[in-house]
Amino acid sequence: MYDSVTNRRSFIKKMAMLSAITAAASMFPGIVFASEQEKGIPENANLDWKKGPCRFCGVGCGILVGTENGKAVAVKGDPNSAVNKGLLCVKGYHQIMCIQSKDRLKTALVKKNGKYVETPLSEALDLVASKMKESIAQNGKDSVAMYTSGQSTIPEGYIASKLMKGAIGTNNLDCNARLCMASAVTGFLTSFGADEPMGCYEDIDHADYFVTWGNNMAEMHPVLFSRMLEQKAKRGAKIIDFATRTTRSSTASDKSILFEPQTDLAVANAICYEIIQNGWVNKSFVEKHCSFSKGLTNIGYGLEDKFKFTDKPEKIDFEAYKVFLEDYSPEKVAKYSKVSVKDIKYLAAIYGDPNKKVVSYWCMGMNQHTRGTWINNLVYNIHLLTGKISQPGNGPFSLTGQPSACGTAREVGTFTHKLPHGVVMKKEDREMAAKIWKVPVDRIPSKPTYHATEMFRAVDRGDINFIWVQATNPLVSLPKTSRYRPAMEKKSCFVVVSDVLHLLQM
Amino acid sequence: MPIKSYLAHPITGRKEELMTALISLGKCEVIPAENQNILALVTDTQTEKEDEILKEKIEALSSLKLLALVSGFNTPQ
Repeated sequence: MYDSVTNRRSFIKKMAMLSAITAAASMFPGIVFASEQEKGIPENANLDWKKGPCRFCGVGCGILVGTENGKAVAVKGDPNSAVNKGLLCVKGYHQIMCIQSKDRLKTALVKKNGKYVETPLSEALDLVASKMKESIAQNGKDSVAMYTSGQSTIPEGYIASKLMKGAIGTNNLDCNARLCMASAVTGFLTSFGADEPMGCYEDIDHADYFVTWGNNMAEMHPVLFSRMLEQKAKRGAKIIDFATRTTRSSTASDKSILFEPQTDLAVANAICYEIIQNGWVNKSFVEKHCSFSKGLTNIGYGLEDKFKFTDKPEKIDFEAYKVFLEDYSPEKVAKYSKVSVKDIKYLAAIYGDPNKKVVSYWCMGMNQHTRGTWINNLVYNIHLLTGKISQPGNGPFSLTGQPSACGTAREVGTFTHKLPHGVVMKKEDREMAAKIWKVPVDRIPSKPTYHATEMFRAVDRGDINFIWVQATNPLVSLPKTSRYRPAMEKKSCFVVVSDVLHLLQM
Repeated sequence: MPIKSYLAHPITGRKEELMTALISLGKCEVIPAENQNILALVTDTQTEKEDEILKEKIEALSSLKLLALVSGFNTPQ
């Protein structure tokens, strides 16, 4: 990526400065480094400031982009945004640096004799179209696929859905949002029967405790963490960092509790055990709003081809749930979680205190967990048992990693089973999509095909002969990349990658 | 070729003075916080020895209250 020592050194200096600014942000909520924001603004510039959303993470900060002669040259936090209230983190500060980066691709690259060759975009697109046609002619519509991203905008996702489902007529479209949504959404659906998170950022202004589950918010969601630190300084709110490693979030928190990887599930059950044993259950809430079920337990290793669940969830009662929790007393769990009995009881007492408001925050630590759905369910159990949910300052909150995982992936349909405002399995949803796309309804298949990981298994098996990857790098982010890297190099599949930066030396 | 980043806390009321002093030492890049009494500092030197000498000079500045190391890199020549 960097072709000289000077460039590399300049990059490292930038990283060093970013580290310092990040550290300062975790110590001083709302700190502003104006000269960093203003870097690149020409002297005496007459800038036109345009509103927009930050495209880096899932917080949804409002930004103001300064343009001069149609070129973006500066960025700052939007003081009128209810999310970030004028704050911006180091990632946001550097958006202009990305736009103006020397590494940006300005032409298509086509691999010829093992080397990338600069090629006019029109010629490259003709090649893409001919390869797609060739694959469809030889092996059918389901031999071509597209893998997109929660970094893509909603219009980009809509067009991807229209191209693959409405024009080509295959449901071979999925995206990297699957990697976390598979846990988060399944967690929502199995616990609540409905999708999407509850709670809102205003809860930060009311909570007495923030418990972060495997979630380094100081570096990953710095603007929200700054808002938590502000409440810590202003009202004495407490931050408890519950994680597998020590991070900047741990050092800025009131208490850091480390656990052995994978044992967070047992600790969550131990917290529920303590809540019940100490009589801290909100009986009225539980009686009115909760029913008890035992979920799927035989989930296998989860990385097997075409895995399907064989067991079924079953209804149980509160007494059966109490019996289930007997294996999770703090004393038993402390032995393998390496979390002390005292700390497990401390966490339980926070959730169990009816006079304290608690928000639990998590992100990819739980949502890309190998038992992601379960750990989502278990943290919901804590909030449901105590009734600390859907009230100002009380609630479980699954944060999103990407700026448009919900909008692009779920709302306009870049999952194999989705359509804009519906699912492929429902006739009326297919009819609506066909009407707005002006295509025959029969062209949209009624069965989902490959989810994210299955799509790359299909590439490996030779079932997919053309794949177009957009704004994501699955060979870094997928589980079991040792299988998919050689799969993507097979001659049986033509691979197209759409990205803004090139990672190879020319 | 060490590159290090620090948070430099000035003595109250002497932020501008500290910033000027750091810049005049050379090998220092400084970004001041707009709304807090703190400076983000990056030092860029050729050798470990030079880095050591620079740090001693920074720590001797009368306008500096505290220098906290955040990150350190040592790149090849």
